[in-house]
Amino acid sequence: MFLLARLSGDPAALYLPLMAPDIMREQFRAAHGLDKPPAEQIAVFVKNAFRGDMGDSLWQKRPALGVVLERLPLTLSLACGATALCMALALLLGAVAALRPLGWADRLVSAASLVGIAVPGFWLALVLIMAFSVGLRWLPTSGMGTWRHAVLPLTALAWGPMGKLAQVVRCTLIEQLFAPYMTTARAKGASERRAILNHALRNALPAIVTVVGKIWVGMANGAVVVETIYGWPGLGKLMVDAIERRDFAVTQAAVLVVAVLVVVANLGVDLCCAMLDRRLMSPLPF
Amino acid sequence: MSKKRFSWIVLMAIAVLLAACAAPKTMEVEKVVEKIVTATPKTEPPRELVVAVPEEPPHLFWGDWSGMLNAPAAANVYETLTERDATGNVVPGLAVSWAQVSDLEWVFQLREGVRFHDGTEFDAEDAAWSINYQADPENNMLSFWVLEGMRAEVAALDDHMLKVITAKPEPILPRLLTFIAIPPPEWALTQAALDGQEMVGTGPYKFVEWDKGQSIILEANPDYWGGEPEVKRVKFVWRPESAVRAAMLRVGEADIAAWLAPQDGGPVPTQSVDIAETPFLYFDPNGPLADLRVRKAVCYTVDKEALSRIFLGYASPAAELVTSDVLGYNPKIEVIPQDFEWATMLLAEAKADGVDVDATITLYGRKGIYPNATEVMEAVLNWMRKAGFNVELQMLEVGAWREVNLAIPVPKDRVSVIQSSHGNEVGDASYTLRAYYGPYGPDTWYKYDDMGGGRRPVTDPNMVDLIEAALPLTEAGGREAALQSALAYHNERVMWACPMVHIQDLWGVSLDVDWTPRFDRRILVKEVGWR
Repeated sequence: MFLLARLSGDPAALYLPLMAPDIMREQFRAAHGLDKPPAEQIAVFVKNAFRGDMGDSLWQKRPALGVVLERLPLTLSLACGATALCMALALLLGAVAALRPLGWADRLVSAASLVGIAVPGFWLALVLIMAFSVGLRWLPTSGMGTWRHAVLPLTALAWGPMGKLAQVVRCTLIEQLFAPYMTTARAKGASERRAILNHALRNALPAIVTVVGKIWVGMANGAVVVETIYGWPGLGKLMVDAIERRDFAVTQAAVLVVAVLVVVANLGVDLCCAMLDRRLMSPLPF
Repeated sequence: MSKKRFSWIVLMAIAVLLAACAAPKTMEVEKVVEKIVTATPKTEPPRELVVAVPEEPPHLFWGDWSGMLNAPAAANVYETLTERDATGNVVPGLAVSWAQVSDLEWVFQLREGVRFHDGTEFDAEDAAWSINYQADPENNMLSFWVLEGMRAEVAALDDHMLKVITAKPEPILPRLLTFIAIPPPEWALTQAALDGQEMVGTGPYKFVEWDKGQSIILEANPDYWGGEPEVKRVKFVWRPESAVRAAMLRVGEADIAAWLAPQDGGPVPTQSVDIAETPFLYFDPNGPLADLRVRKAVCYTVDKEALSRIFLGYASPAAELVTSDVLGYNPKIEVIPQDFEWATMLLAEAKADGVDVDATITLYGRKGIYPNATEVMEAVLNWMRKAGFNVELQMLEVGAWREVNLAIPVPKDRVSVIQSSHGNEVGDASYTLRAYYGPYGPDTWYKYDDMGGGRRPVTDPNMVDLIEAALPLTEAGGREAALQSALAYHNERVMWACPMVHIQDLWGVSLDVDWTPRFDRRILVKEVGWR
């Protein structure tokens, strides 16, 4: 990442006026430590990173870590909200589809899922604005402030992954519904609702949670399109801007913070799976 | 009746009973509140003007405030000695008058009774400090380069009189000073000021708050020397998508939507305005492009009328790099028409003289340099191919494009035509001539004079002579005619750049707002009123 960022080019070409002379460019590179060999730059970065100093943003002229942490809660709120919405809808739709495989509800849910996966995010985001803000005047077009501002970004962000997750829920649940232990449960007198909720769904959950974790990580990485269109200043837009503007310090800080998030999310998923399926916590047989 | 249902009915009955008992009291309270409200005169907060712009400014630093991203908010807080009116004329700002007393000396009479937003009084010492600081190359200020490397000694003659001595004649000094902000010196070097996180100036609006990622809020300065502005509070918000800015205007979330894409202008009230921006093609001095006939042939392939249509009518064919409001604009220069026959003939003539007209030419475009920039380059590519050029197109991101454009010297084996756009915001054609048409090369006036170097070979000494002759002239001394001659000579004998169109800005402006967009793209809220 460190080297890849530097391969994008010389920041002096972007930050100085077209007419700035070579000496000014050299001064600029020296002032930001860009004149040193890459190995030395990495060493300095690692040393400072341990002290929480990720360098200063070239673009915003302030500490890069501060810039990233400022955006982090906005991205997390969007990611958590959209994941929750996505999960609720997917569980509902996936379960409805799984209960009557190849029935009309299943076909409808499958079609809706495919549309969700296929529709481009930027198009959906603009259509939602045109429909609910400009047409019906129910919701604000963009920005932040109230819960109403969050409705359209959450919907636009949750829609695509919801389609994917609904399919996962459907397939996993169908697999579980026809598993031998379900016959046993029914034979022992468990009601259909109890058999589905307590046995089939519970066994399907580890697979679902794994996919939810992946979806959350994708959203926490930043939803560039949704953030750009709805004026939601999250990490995704920040990272894209930082890469385009050769703002190495911000790119590095953002990637590092996201990497930590990914590790934490994966740990969370593993713990959840272990809680849902106790067999995973038992000692290995060898 | 089951027990459960009976319980529900009893509960509902109790609820209805409670509601019935509570109603009169609530109504009484409401009446009292209504009486109080009607007895008290309504003091509604003043309406806030919301301006939607595409991008958040990276900073609000006073030494680099005039760029397109920074200026929307900063231009309302910082002020300069001289300003430009809506038509581009230089008018008094913090200076009420000025005079050139000799070739190198200027005297500025400053406005009295002006205070910075922090309460300190503005005087000539403040102005002298600011200009000296920004003109000192040691301080590496971007505004130094706006001053075109102007060397100057600035001193206060008294509290409100300023003397500027330039190292060489600068007849357009008042125009250059429209870019030099005057902040209070005590504040200007504080960390918050240097980091560009807040603003203090003398302008009609005071900085209130920058909610990162969301908005910048300014409030009217009640002590402004020009009188308190009509709009009391203004909020700048950023939405990168033009369609979203237009939607905000439609539903009343914004009062001004800046720089709409042509296709988004339909359903909202818009105003278009001619700006000083001219997209053009720029030639490398290598291979066949070193030959004037080949450069002219390229320009003859471009259909400027068709390009205007790509901008959905918000553009007009250009004959030169400057627009009609720039001093030195030459109305006699004609637009080079699309003429494939003429282009083919020029190429054949060049080929007969041994020029390798079949060499591969690379068109370097820059994504988003102006609306529909890719479509423009695709059209140019097709026209050049039709005329027989061996040409390929590469659309670049801004960073890569700048590296191509900045390559000094141009690699000898590179034969390219570069997509560019020029905005002469200084209002004087010398700015354009020095940058693009001289032997000094593109954007390299810093290498002019004592700074050495240069990108392009001197191909026509007459062009140099014409520019050199125009630079020291005053308006009264024939500056305009000299600049016009240089521009005409370029199209006839030099043709380093092929102007394509002059573009317009499209603004969404609410019907409640009384405002006319400016040619220089500034949003001066003091010029805005409510209808």
